[in-house]
Amino acid sequence: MSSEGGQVLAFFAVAVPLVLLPVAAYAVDATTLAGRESALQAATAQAAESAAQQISVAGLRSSGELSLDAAAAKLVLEQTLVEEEPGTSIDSYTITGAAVSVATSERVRLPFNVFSDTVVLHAHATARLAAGYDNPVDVRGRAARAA
Amino acid sequence: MSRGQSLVELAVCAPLVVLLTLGTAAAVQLIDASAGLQAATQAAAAAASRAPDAASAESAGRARFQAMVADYPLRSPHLSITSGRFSRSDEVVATASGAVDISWAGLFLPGRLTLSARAVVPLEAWRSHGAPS
Repeated sequence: MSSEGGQVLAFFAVAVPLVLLPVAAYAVDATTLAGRESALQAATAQAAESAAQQISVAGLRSSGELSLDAAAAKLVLEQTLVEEEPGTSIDSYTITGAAVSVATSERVRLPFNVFSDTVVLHAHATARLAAGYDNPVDVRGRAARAA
Repeated sequence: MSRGQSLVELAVCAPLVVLLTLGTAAAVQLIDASAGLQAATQAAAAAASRAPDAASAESAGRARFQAMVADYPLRSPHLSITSGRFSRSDEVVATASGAVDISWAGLFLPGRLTLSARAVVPLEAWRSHGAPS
């Protein structure tokens, strides 16, 4: 009977470092990662939307069609990502006509690195410059006041 | 004798396990709420930046914020939106705060932690920004 003494203590001595602590650390790592992933996606979408507003004025004047200034769009893409999510790198981007498509990635260091020291997250977003107005009442009101 | 000893050992170890479990759950809730508040603030600023005037920006931002923040464990979320004079070079600045209640965990921590988030989004340059006054 006396040999059974300390069994519970031994169980916890094994279970806590081998099971409970890694599970707890994994939960914190996974939640942190989910938060960073949503932040990366939001920053990528914001960068694509901002880049899609870099209209080529020369192109509009010469052809009457909406297109993007590729150099300005790329600059805005990079600036927005630096401001919104520092550490993000642009994997690829395409600017065709009035549309911007960008793929980004970010290396995230995990707080407890249970299974891996770092994880690379990826995000993708597309935005398009569209002509038109979204508030006809304002336009009518403005026209009436102008008249 | 052995049975009694096991009970004592359990009494020593169980609080540690319970503390670890509660601490993990509280930390996850805190991180989740923080990420949610940041995402909702960013979404509110983005929605406001697409509005045609300052009043619409305020209401669009608030509606987006409320819709998003409802999915996260945040108490009394508060959002303030400023957009300057709402001219083409201005920015929408959204600042939000909210509290996370972790008093249920009974840890040696404050039961209610206040989080804050901030997002800045430039106004869309080619959009109509309200009728001239």
